[in-house]
Amino acid sequence: VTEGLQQLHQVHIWLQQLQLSEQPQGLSGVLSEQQLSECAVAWELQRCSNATAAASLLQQQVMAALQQLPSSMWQGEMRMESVTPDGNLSIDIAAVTAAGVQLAIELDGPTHFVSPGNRLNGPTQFRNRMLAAQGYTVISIPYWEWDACKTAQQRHEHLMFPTTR
Amino acid sequence: VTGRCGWTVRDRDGQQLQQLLAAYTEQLHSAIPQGITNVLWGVAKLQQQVPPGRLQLMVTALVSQVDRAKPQDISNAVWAVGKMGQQVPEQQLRLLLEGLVGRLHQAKPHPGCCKHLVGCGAFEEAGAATAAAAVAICIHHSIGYGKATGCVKYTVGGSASLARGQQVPEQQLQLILAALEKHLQSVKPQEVSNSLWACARFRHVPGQLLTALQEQRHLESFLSDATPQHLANTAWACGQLWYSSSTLLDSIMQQTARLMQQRSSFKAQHYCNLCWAVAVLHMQHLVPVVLQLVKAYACTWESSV
Repeated sequence: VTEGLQQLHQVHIWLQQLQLSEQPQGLSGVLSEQQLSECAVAWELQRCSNATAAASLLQQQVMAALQQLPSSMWQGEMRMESVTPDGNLSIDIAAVTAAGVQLAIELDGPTHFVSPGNRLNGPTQFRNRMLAAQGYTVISIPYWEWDACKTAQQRHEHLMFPTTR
Repeated sequence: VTGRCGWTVRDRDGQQLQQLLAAYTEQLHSAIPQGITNVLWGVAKLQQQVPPGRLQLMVTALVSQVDRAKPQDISNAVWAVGKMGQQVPEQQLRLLLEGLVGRLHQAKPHPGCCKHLVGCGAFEEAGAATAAAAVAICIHHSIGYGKATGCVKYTVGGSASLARGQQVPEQQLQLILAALEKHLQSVKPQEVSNSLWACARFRHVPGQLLTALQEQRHLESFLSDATPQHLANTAWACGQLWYSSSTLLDSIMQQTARLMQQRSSFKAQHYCNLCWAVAVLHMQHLVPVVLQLVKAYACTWESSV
């Protein structure tokens, strides 16, 4: 049941993002406020659970490497497990570039990909689309790319290009 | 012979059986795979036990000749070990199962093979390679032989266990999927949707199978007998795998709408999976069907609060 409620919440935010003239408020009016609330609670529980579990070594490594980049590249501080303004999504590392671009830096492990071709899976594509709809520039760092960076210099170079916007 | 005739074993016979087993294990150096399997099969069928030490010797002898063994011999040996409630060392189990996987196209299913793969710990306790081989065998039995319905269940169970962090070797999966694609016209919707579900759990896009499924004759055959669960599982798999085919999703949603009109039995999970797949795949033109599904679900809503 819980998974179903989480799925419906995703449908709700997808419809909201589409901003259809015939259905501008997502599933409001189709589901009652109580039902929508149950969906939101189920989704929030999962988001919090994922956020706790996601504070991985990989995430900390990338954060440390980002902090080694020149501070002039950023406005304000970078934040791990930042929550989007609508409260629906957690961002592994959120940062704002000197040019004012909001970055959502996502460290994507093996479960985010499908084979053949190492393409992002459906839920991850959905996440990226929802983040983009809220004005974020999504930078996905696949686990194998990060693993291939063996030295601090390589990590620095790997992060430099996508974050210089 | 005694096993096949369904004889039961009295105490005195049991002693004689153990004497025979002792004599047989003395001769293992000259045993052939079929002979070893027949002995294991017969003892299991008689609901007797091969003492663990002797079983170990027999399995070792079988493994040493696995290249010569017929797939049926391996399948029957696995069944017998599971039936006796015994275990074989992980490495030997892996070698046996990989020997079987390599020649699956020649194998007939043993009705209890999948069940006993579970029984002998091939999924839960074994390493990734063994579990992967076990799943491959189960999938093959499931899709190749629709009558072995239990296999589907164990395939799904095994897949779920694998999906907790392991992967099926690509080559094995390709083999199984090729077999399914070949028989697509005759397989049941459940076997198609279960296989797609398992592929999604494995995070593997079965591109050729999905392409074949969209051919008109296959799609019509699939849809005509598909239940809400088959449609929902297939849509869910497409969503997970980011397989964005308008042909497939449109057909699934149209058939869903038809089944709703016919008052087919939809569960909450079916509604949710179908709607979720449309959202994840960003199929805006299917919004009307999604709203129809959510409305229907709302009427049957059981509050979780």
